[in-house]
Order: sequence, then C-alpha cells, then structure tokens
Amino acid sequence: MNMKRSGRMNLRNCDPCSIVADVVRYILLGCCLTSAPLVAVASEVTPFLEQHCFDCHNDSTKEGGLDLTSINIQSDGLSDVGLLAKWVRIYDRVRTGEMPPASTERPPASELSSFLRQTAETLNAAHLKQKGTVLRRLNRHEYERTLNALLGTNVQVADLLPDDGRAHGFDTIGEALDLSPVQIQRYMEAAGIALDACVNFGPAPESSLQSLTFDTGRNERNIGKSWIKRSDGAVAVVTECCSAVKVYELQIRHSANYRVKLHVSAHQSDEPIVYRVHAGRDFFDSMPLLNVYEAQPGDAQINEFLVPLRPQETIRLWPELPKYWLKDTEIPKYTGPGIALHKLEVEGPLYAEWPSRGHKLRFGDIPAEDTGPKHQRDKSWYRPAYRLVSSTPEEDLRRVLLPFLEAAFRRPATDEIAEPFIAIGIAELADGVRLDDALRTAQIAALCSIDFLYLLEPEGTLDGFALASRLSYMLWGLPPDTELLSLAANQQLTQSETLRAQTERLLSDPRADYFSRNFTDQWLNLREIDFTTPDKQLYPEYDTLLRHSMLQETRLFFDEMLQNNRPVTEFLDSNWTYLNEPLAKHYRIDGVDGVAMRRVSLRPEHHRGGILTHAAVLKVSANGTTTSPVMRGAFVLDRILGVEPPPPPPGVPGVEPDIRGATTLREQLEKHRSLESCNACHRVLDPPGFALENYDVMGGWRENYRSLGKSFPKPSDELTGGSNVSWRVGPPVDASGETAAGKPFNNLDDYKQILLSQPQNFVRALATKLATYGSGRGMGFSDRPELNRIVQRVSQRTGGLRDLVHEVVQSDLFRSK
Amino acid sequence: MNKILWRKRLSRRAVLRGTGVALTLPWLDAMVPALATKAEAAETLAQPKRFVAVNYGLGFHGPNLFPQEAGTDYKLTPYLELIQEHRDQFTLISGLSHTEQNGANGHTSEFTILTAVKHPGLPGFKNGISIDQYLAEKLQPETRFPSLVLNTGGRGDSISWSSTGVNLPSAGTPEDLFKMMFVVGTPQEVQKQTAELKRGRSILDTVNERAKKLRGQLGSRDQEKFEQYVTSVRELEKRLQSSQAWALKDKPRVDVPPPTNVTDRLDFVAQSRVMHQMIALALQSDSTRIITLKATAMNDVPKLPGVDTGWHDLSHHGQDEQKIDELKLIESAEFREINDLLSQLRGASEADGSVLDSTNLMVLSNLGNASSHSWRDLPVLLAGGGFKHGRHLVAGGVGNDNARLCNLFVQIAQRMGVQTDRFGDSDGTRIESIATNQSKRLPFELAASSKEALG
Repeated sequence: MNMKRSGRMNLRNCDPCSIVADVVRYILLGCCLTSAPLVAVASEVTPFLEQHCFDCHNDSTKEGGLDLTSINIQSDGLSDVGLLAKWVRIYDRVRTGEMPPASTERPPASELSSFLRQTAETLNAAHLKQKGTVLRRLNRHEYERTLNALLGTNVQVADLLPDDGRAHGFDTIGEALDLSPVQIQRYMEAAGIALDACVNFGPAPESSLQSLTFDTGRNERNIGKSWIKRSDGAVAVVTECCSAVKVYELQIRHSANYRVKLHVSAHQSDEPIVYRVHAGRDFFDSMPLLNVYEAQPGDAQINEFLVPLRPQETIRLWPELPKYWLKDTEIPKYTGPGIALHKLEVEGPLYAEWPSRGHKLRFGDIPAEDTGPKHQRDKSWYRPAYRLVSSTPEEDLRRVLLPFLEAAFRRPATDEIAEPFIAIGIAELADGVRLDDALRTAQIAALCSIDFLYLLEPEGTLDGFALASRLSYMLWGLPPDTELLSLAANQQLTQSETLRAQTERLLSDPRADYFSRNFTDQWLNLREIDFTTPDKQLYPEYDTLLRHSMLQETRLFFDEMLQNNRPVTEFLDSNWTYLNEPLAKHYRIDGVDGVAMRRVSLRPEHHRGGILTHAAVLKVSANGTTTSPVMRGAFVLDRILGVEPPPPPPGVPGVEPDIRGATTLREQLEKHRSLESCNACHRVLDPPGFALENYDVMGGWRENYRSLGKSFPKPSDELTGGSNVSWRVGPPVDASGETAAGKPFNNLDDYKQILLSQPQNFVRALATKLATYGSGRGMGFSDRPELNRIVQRVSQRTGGLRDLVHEVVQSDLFRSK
Repeated sequence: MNKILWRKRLSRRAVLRGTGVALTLPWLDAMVPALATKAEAAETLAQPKRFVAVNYGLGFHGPNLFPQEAGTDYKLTPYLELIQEHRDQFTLISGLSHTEQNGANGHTSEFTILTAVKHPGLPGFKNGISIDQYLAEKLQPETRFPSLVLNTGGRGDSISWSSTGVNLPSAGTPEDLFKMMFVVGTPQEVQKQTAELKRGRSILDTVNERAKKLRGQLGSRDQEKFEQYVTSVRELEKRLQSSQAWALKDKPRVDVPPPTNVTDRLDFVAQSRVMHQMIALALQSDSTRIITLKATAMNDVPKLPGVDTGWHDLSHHGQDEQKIDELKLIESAEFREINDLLSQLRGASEADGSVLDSTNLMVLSNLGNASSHSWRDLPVLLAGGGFKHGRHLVAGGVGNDNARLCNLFVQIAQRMGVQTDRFGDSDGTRIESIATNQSKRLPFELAASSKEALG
C-alpha cells in the first residue's frame, strides 16, 4: 500500500521516492526483467533476512506465524502459489516500510534497495513462469446463459450443476473452475433438457388472455376472514401476514414470455401502497423478486410487465403494510391502509421467434411430418408426434451438424473437429436409430465437448476467436455474436481500433447489464447479502424491500459510472447516488417519494457519497449483530485498495462479540492491538473499519451503538421514527483512528480525503479487479508494470470508468493468455 | 403438507413404541428375503464395514453439549440427554481439530472437515480427497453405489471431495435416492435405461476422442485442467459401465412406501428425518457402505416453533441469553434427529448384530464455537463400529493444544481394513495415548475391545 508507505517513509526520512517514482520503477523493472535472463542467485537476500528479520521470524518465535528460516526464496522454488504469495507479501511489507517494524533499527538504504531489487527479480521470474489463464471452464451461470443463447430457450439448468469455485473473489477464474465425473453427467442431462426444450415443430401455440379475479377457487375461503370483499368487487388485503397473494387458477403451459397486467389501487389510504411482485417456481419463501410497484389511491390502475415463465411457475404479490397480523374479527373494523386487488390479466404464451433458433440450428432444412395416428388428430387431447423425414440421413446429419458445431464451439468447425461428432451420429444411424435421435446424441456430445465447456485460448497473444469469446463473456456473459465472430474470422478483431469499437458496442448494448451487475456483485461481495440477517430486535427496520433497494443503489451507481464514463474516484466519494423512498428514509434523506430508484443529489449532512457509504456494502461487510472493524477493514483493503489482507495467524482465536454489555468490539480490539505481534497487521487492517463505525450492520447512520442491555436509555422518537422498539441507546461510537502511515482521521469524511489524496491506489485496485474478472486469472507480481500503465493512461484521459474498462481490454493482460 | 408429515411421524413413532426394546422396524426384516436365501443373505451382509459422516456447519453450543467430566461417569448435558438411550453406543470426543484452518472466511473450514487441507479458500489452497472418498477408493466395496454423498436439502454441495480436490455434488433428493436404490423399472424402462447408459458411454468416447486431438495444441498451463476433464470423462465412463452391469441386477426389495420430498427448505427437521431414513435404508440394503451428509445450516429463520431469528445470526449469539435459548431449540431438534438415526441403525438387525455395530457413524462440526468462528475444539461424536463406547473422551488439550482429528480418521480407516498410518495432517499418534495426558484416568480405548470386536 503506497499510501501508507510514503507517509511512513517521509516520517522516517529514509526513502523519499514518491508514487510516481515508484510507478516508474515498476515499469523499468518490468521492461528489464522480461528480457533479462533469470537471475538464479539472490545473493543479498539471505544476509538481509538474517540480519533484520530472523530475530522475530525464526522457528521458535514465529512472530505473526512467519518463520523465515524455514522458507528459502531460492531453494524452495516459488512454483508453489501459496509460497509465492507469501514472498510477495514479505516484499511488499518491506518495500512499504511496514517491516522491519518501527521499534527496530532501520536497515541502511543501500541494503534495503538491493534486497528489494533482488527479491523483485526473483519474484518476477517466478511469476512469469506460472502466469497465464488456465484452461477456463464456463461457470454454471455462463453455461446456462450460453445454452439458452445458443438454442433460444429459457431453461434453468444451473441448479443441476455444483457451485463453482471462486478465486480472487470471482467465479470466472480458470484455476478455480474444477470438474468432476458427476458434473459431466449433469452436463449430459442439462444438454438433453435444453435440446428438447427448443424443439418447435408445427404451429406456435396460440396466445390467449386469462382474465382472473382474486376471490375465486382456493382464495374464496379468505374472503370475509383475512381478506375483505369490497363493494366494487375488488379484494382488499390489509395485513402482511399470509398475504403472499396468488391466483391459483392462473395456468402457465409453455415456457415463454407472458404479458401481465395487474389492476390494483390503494385501499383506505391517501398514500400509494408498495407491493412486491415475485415470479418463478412457487416456493413460498424463495421465489425470486421480479420488481416493486405501487398501487395509487383512487380508481384501479394497471401495472404492466413482461415476464418469462415456465410451466409450474407463477407470480405472487406481497404488499408492504403497517399491520403484520390482525384477528379475523378485527379485519372488517380495521380502518388502516391496504391494497385493493381488482383483476389479473395474463396474456401469452408470447414467442420472440418460432420456431426457435435452436430448432433451426438442430434440424436445419430437414423436413418433418406428424407420425401420430391419423384418426386421432381431430381430438382435443391429441399431441402430434413429429419425426424428421430423410431419404439420405447420413448426408443430412453431416450437413446439419456442421453449423451446429460452429455455433456451439464459437469458432469454425474444421473437419478434424467435426469428425468424432459426425461419427457418433452415423454409428447410431447404422444401429438403426432414427435420424432425430442420432442427431440428438451427436448434439449432446457436442455440448459436453471441451470445445463447448471451456474457453480454448492459445498460448501467448489471443487469436480473434479467443478474444471474441473473452470480450463477450466479460461484458455479456454470453457467447460472441455474429458480428464479433465475423470480425474474428477476418482477423480484424485483434486490431486495437476494432477491438475498441466492439468493446464500445457491447458496453452500449442493454446486455451489458450483465457486466454491471455481475462484476459489481462479485467485486463488492453483494452476492453474500443474505449471508447474515440483521438481528430483529436490534434492527427491526430491515426488510425485503430495503434489501432490494440497497442492492439496486450499488448496481445502478456502477451502471451510471460506466455508461456516463464518470471519474473512477466517484466510487470513493460522490455527491450523488440512487435512492428510492425506503432507502432515503433509511439514510434519513427527505424528499424522495415512491419506490422507483432515481438519481439524488447528496449534501454533506447526509453522511453519504461513494460506495463505502452504500448500505449494501456496509451490510455485506458486517454480520447480523455487530460491525467488526477488522472485517470491514479487510474488506476495504481487499476491494478498495487491492491489498489481499493476510490471514489471521494460526492459533489466534477470533474476538468473540458480546452484545449484552458495555464493551464495544473496538474496546475488545484495543487489547489485541496492544500486543506488538498483533498490531503489526491490525494497524493496517483496522483503521478503515474504524472510519466506518458510524454505519451500522445495515448501513444506517449511528452516533451510538444499539444495545439490548437493559441499563441503557430508551431511544428518542427521532431515532426510532416513532416505532416501538426493544433496543436501547448503547455506548457512543468512536470513528476516529490513524492510518498505518500515521495520518489521523475523525470520521469517514476525513478518511475519504486520505483515500482521495492518492487516487492511483484505488484506480490500480479497480483495474486489477477488472483485469482479473475479464481475463480469468489472478494478477500477479509480473503484471504490476502493465497495471500501472493502465492507471497512467486512464489518469491522462478522463479518469472515467468506461475508459478504464477500455484500457483493461486493450492491455496485454486481456489480449494474451 | 407439513401437517401430513407431522402425522406420519407420530404414526411411525407409535409403531416404534409398539415393538418394544428391539426397535425393529417392520420393513427391515422384509428386506433380507429379497436377497434370496437367508444363508446367502448372511454371507452377503456379513460385517460390511461402513462409514457415515454427518457434518453440522454451524456447530453446537458447547456448554449444552460437552460434559464437565471425562470418562464414563459424565453428567448428561442438555444435548446428550436427548440421545441418552444410546449412551453405551457412542463416545463424545472433545479436544480435536485439524491444524491451520484459518481460511478465506469463518465458514470455509467446512470445505476441509473431511480433508484437513490447510487454509481453506486462501491463495494457493487446493482441496484434497476427503476421508470417505479415500475409504471408497481403498476398499472398493462391491455395492451398487461406491459411496453416497448427500445434502439434507436434496441437491446441493457436499462435504466430500474427489481425489483431484473437487467438491462432489450431492446424489439427490430422498425421492431420487429411493428410486436409484429400490425402484425396479419395467422391462422397457430397464431396456431404455441400458440404452441410455450405452449412449452415454459412446458420448464419452466421442468427447474423449475429440479431447485427445486437442492435447498437443494446449499450453503447459492448461494441462492440469485438461487432465481433469479427461480423467472425469474416463471415470464417468467406468461408472456408467458399472451402472450398466448393476442395471441388470435385481434391486433389493423394501417394504416401505417411497419417501416424499420435503420442499420447504426451512423445515430442516422434516428434511433431515427423511434423509436419515434414506441413510438407514441405504446401509441396511447394502446399496452403499460409505455415506456423507452435509446437514442443513442456513441464514434464514428455520421452521421451528419458538424460533424467529435467522439461524446463522443465532449462532453468533454474542452471549445473548435469548439467542442462546433459541439456538438451543434448533440444536435440540437436531439432536432428536440424531437420536432417531441412531435408533434406526441400531434397530436394523442383520446377520451379525445391528447395522450400527458395523457402521462407524461420525457426527461432527467444522466449528467448535460458531460465535467466534473457532475451528478448534470440534464436537465429534463417534458411534457404532464395534468400538467400546459410553464415554466422554478428552482426546487433547484445549484450543492450540488440540489433538489431530485426522488421527481418529486413520484409526477408523485401519479398523475398516485399510492399511495406512497416514491421512491428512495425522501425525501417527493414536488417540488413546493422547488421552492419557489428562489427570483423570481415561479408560477409553479406541481400539475395539476383544469381546465386542466385529471381525
């Protein structure tokens, strides 16, 4: 961390080199080293360690769990990834002046620089040897999206596959994407499901309109009990409990899009009533949230949307209401707000294409006929049985299979590539299998082939096809489209200008949503939003709507940064964000009405600005009851400053939080930090976490901790918004601290200024994350010069996020394996 | 749906009570005749050495589980009380853990509970083979399934890892399992299944042939993943081949109604009950001898009267009494199900004793104290396997002075006939010698007593 280093170095007055000089040194180092032969012997490394490090890091004291006498940088061969990472950490900590610690004698400048130079050479050489993206398998989300894009289907097969490994925070890293025999078996199963789902013989099923009300069938029993039948025929729901409303008569028979119109209004309310719409498999608690709408006071209005549904899927509505539960006898007398449900209209199935892309790809121009019994065809229950008709099945198979393989493999299928797949089809034909089934077998084989499941990339610079796939999977999570593939075929895509234009095209397409969401969620760990649930007694405000809104804020923020090329530094501090009413209320910002997310200007007294103040980010870096400065500090180091924090040394138990008493976690930590061996790491880890202490586990602003201890005073109405709560006003928050470089801060505002004073650190960290995500490999020691070049170029341009993405794509990191 | 399940449980309990001490379930005996003659059955089922490991990802609240006293005269703790009817059938072992499990986060020690690889999730981490897969590889049991890897939720990940360090997905839901083990298809279905397996094998041949041509074109960095692909294809091919053979063999007949999946994932009690039944059936029918189960642990509020806080949140109770009380409700429910599993295995008699006698059942957690994410002082409950039980064994010191859990793995493997003195981070120490460094004499020996030895 250079921020700390320069501060410290200035204090110690021993190495005045600035960040810029540092960058230059990196570059020089990179240039020299890539052409220089391997330096085998690092003659000054061991004496330096002996003299300055062994006192503490030997086999008996093992300060911080590190025994330097047992790991030799030369003889251990740094082919072990963990060992290399360890040595890089040692290098960095010596380079930044963290080690040897302040309490010991400083090594002379000359010794220090030759130690650093020689270590760097060794590390660089070691990393170059193991650099390169490892044969990268599609992760299960990419796999499902790829199947659906290829075949024009909407099948859900990701759940059949085991969860994917992650490295460096991302699930796109070749090294971490493993494979087992069971998984191949599941691929065979999934391929069969998708291949069958795209078959569209005959005319498209006719679309129909289902017009339904909420008082029929199984819903009838609610009327007069938990639901009220109004005089205008609508059903009113006034409590949240058991109010996940669905219409049982709704029938979804085909996997297709459906247009849904909800006729709703607010009941006994002058304010709009917010309700959530969930769509998917009807598991009461885990149906995916589709969107949030409002029912306005007055006459029925229509909320309309298009939603892909499959057989057995449905939609449910959840109103957000003040009353959770009322006795059935109280309900008719109740005068509070509710939602009036007038009508549900569902139109479909609607098809974008019929027959599907997959159908055409699978069968080409081979004609088919209905082979079902002729005398039954006029029956209502008749299901046609289409079969391909061919007098030259071998020839047809060969002809149809080639384009299928090309589309599946994302590159031209040479005879050599195609041969085994044609052979298996022909062998089946010879066994008397029908052409339909023989094709299916060959196509399943294609979809289980290494060409489909993996991104095949040659050593060194990527060819056009490999580049097309990398780009497309990075920005869309999809296989390359025709335009990318034809540019690859013409050898144009590898030209910088074409690559830039294509990146621009992909980024401007709505499908780039995938990148915004997927990258943001993994970079900031938002996928773990549900890893803990805020304690109900301490944080009764937390609910599904707030959770949804906070995720939206961060994703929309990233999207705006990307689409408008906003300066990357706005991630650290901005005077705008995206809010809706629930989130604005959570942030205590007035004047934001309604559930729609919109851009809102921020003022200093709001204590918001930049992603560190986003509720979602603050939530995922805490647990359900307490905020740990250590965990939050590690989060900031890793994700904002790009320093992978060292793991806790073995044998040190975690601090066990106690939410009953007066001891804050911070006070418990102080004990820990008073030990020199602990403090060596914690002086780096904890400060960013301290700066965030004014934000609670769900990102709410606080000046005092909430406590369940009965000795503390009850909160004022201003703090609770008038609700009845069981938490008390605990000890005051202290958000002050001092960075490892010795810069003091009183709160997050100060700390943000410290971050902003050296923006390159953040830009480099973000560039590293983007390069990691896009190229499918972790960035290592020898990548540092190229990353620094990216940072320089972006800074010279606008400093905007879109430019940063372009620079990453243009870099060698992305364009070579 | 839930009501129906509840009623089912009551009726089954009623049956259990009716049969008295032996706890013989009516369907268990019905299974043996399915395997031709009684003599044949005795031969087939004679002392299969079995291994079952169940891991609870959020641990158990220590004070409610561990007795203060070591040895046989320990006072029952709230959780042990729930399984006291099997007191002489299990040993609670304290003072065990794997070394250096500090990993990417507080819960990554679950990856390595059966592998003991250090620093789960950190750079350079690559998991290794889990003890169950190791046993399956070494023992090569001639059963329909070399092992069953399960997850209480049905589909999902597991605590088992292949020899290449890849997580094995669970085998499926109770309905899937029952079908795989017992449901015999019509001749047409069997024929179709055989044809599917044959087709599957030729698909694997095809992709393998294609991969071979690619080998030379890939860079050196790609080789490892490439080999993983080719090996997986080859292993699956072998597995399909053996499935083809098994497809033609009769399946054991059982006299129980097929299970119904519990789709409400919050209802972990009902889910684990059905899964435990499948485990008992799988073992007794000798469909497999090696099973792992990843027990439910969740962030959400589980479905249990009196619990209205997220489970994970409760595990981080921060000493709040109310939370500990709620946690106790959940963990007691878990122990009641563990008791049920013990009863089933014990009640299932076979040629030479009960199924439990020839099963090494290990119930454990990768967290010793979930509130602080401590991976030390793990709770380990070992039942059956012909060991002499009935004690609280303090196998090692506290915290950093824990003895190695892998030493126990090694001892179990040896008992099952695997000639090895190493697994994971085992250091060659036997558990009983570690135990002697306690002030109190610990009569427990983790070698089988001569009388009770099975083989």
